[in-house]
Amino acid sequence: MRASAILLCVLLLVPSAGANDADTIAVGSKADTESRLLAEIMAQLIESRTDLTVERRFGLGGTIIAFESLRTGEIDLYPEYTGTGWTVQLNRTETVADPLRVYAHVAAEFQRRFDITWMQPLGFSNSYALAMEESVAAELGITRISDLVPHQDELRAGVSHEFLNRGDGFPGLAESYGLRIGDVRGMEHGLSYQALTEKQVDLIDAYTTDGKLAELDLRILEDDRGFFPPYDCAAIVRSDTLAMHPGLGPLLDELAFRIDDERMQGLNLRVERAGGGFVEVARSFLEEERLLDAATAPAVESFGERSDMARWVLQHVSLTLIAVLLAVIVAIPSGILLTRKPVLSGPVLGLAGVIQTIPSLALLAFMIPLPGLGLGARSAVAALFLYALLPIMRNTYTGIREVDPDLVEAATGMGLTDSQRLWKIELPLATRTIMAGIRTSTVISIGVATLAAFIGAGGLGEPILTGLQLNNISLVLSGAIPAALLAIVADLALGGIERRLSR
Amino acid sequence: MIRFEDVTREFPDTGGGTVVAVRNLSLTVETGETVCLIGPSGCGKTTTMKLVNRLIEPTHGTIRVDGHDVREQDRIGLRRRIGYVIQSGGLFPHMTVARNIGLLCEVEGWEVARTRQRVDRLLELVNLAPAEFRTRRPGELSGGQRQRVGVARALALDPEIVLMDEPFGALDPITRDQLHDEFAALKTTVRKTIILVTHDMREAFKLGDRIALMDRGAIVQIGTPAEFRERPASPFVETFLRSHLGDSGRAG
Repeated sequence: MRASAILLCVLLLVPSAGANDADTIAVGSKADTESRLLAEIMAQLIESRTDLTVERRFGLGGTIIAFESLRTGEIDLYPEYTGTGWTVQLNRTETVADPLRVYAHVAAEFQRRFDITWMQPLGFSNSYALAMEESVAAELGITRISDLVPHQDELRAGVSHEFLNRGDGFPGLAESYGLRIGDVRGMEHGLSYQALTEKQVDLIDAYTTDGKLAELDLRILEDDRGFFPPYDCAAIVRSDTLAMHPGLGPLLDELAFRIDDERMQGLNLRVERAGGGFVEVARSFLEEERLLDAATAPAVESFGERSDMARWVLQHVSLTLIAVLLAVIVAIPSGILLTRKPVLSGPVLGLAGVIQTIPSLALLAFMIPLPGLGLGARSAVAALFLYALLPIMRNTYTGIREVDPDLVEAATGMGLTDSQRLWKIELPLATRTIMAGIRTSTVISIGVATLAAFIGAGGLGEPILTGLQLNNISLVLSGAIPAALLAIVADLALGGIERRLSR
Repeated sequence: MIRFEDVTREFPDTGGGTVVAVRNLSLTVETGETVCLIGPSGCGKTTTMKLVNRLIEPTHGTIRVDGHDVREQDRIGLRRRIGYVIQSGGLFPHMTVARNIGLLCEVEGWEVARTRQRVDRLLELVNLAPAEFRTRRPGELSGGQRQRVGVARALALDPEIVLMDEPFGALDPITRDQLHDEFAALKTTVRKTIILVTHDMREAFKLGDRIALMDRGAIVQIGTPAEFRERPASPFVETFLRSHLGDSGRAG
């Protein structure tokens, strides 16, 4: 009882991620480069032109997490695509080629069902497309997807696994165009451009706004039968937020139709080349468009500078530390209790074991809808805490159970009370085993905490996640190496304490 | 004085029935007397001893210490008035010798200086130099030294009664003989009421004022060593004596 009360108190101390503060707008984004950049543009626009404080909750791990966060009010807005709204949130399966019809339908349905408003489209559509090398396409005279049919026996295609297997991907496309390419292989999307330029394949799938399309000399084939659904991008915003801040809607709509496909490609490419300079690229875009109020524009700081690193490490350490501390507070007394009521040990340790088998990302996602948790640090701490329970509880239980029964009898027979026996004999003799459990939990937590970035809790997962999206290995390593070092240092330090205690 | 009045202790067995460990046992251990409980393994001698400090409760019957039913007494208080020595000492490996011996003084809230004085006196009593042994850990002691510390610990609160469960069982023969002599001498200095469980007939003959030979939960014969030697009560006693004393037994 007391333990759970303490747990509750500490959880309440963990800063809440919510957008409950009336003067704060929480801007979210998915994990990919484009979403982050657009969210950063929106964030800077709001910061510069209103008195509102912006809270950035970027890099949310996928459509479901981003959308759930918006629906529950953890964030106020994030950039979304009409095609995604159509297929994912509204579960529509038929394809409609007309972008306007899709936008109108999605906007109306979101308003009606979720009380979420689609702002005006930004102007580009990030759809699937097929691309070839300009020289090869010119030689074969291919400009449209239909033109592929006469050459289908000689062409080699390399497409991403998801595209290869989705109904609205390659199978549907082939059926719609009557296309039967003999040599089709699945490959990692990041590698397909390289395969194309090295002439290992002739045809790849692409996102129409990939920065690589602008960088390389490629030809996008026209979707002349309108097979691919439109993926027009726009900010989606909670309607109650718009009602509370009447200026916000018109302000966001100032971005409408300012970014066409080519412009978006160029912006994505600039971010990739800059190795993650979201802030600068967003800033210069807003300046070029004269959308910024120069007097109040915030100073530009680059992603990955020292201040970021310090913040990530600090966030990472605090997430882990709080979670493990809470786990110690709960798991050691529970482990002791189990030695007093061994009948419970099977079910309780079994349950903790089951929690351990839940994939980390799923566990993080499960925490978000729970009352009081939501998006951010609290959910991350709660998930890490659940993971940390088992090793500590199990080691406390076995550590005490493995104390020589002769010693327990000696202690009892000489007249120690139960609590004297526990504190003076059993716990000291089990200390080494318990410490080993804490050590295991800490190392696991440091590892799992890198996933906390997916739910906007920050930490060293942030550069890892961004680096993966940007295909920027050095950014990935700038998160991975400190995380590994943290784990090693924690392991050595706790190992040292463990040896000291057992002497 | 310890009195067992028609005491029976049954345990549930694995098949759902019961096993009788001690059957209708009556026994009086006089103040200052040492009674050795001996018998083949499973005869109920250890169970009988543990009934005294309530590590085991009787199914029927009453155990009285100085006339008072033990079940009417607080377990902790009762146990602190009864010293308890187990095989190989049962010392706590994470504590020094001094802390092991002084642990009960510590939980009784004695002042540090008084505890220290008491520990030193007890170390001397069991022939261990305080300056040398106080700070050692059990892991740094020989078997005989551990056993001496175990005895010293049992005497910490100066109890009237001491229960000893095969205290010299794990020692080599030479050390055992030496400790037997020391124990015999100690008995005369401290005058305790002692129940000593053993499977070693020579030990029982040497240390016991009286010996209670048990078999299948009951006392087969009780008497002084001389009575056992001169008048074995049954063929079982005779066989037991012969097989457990051997050649060296006659010398003792």
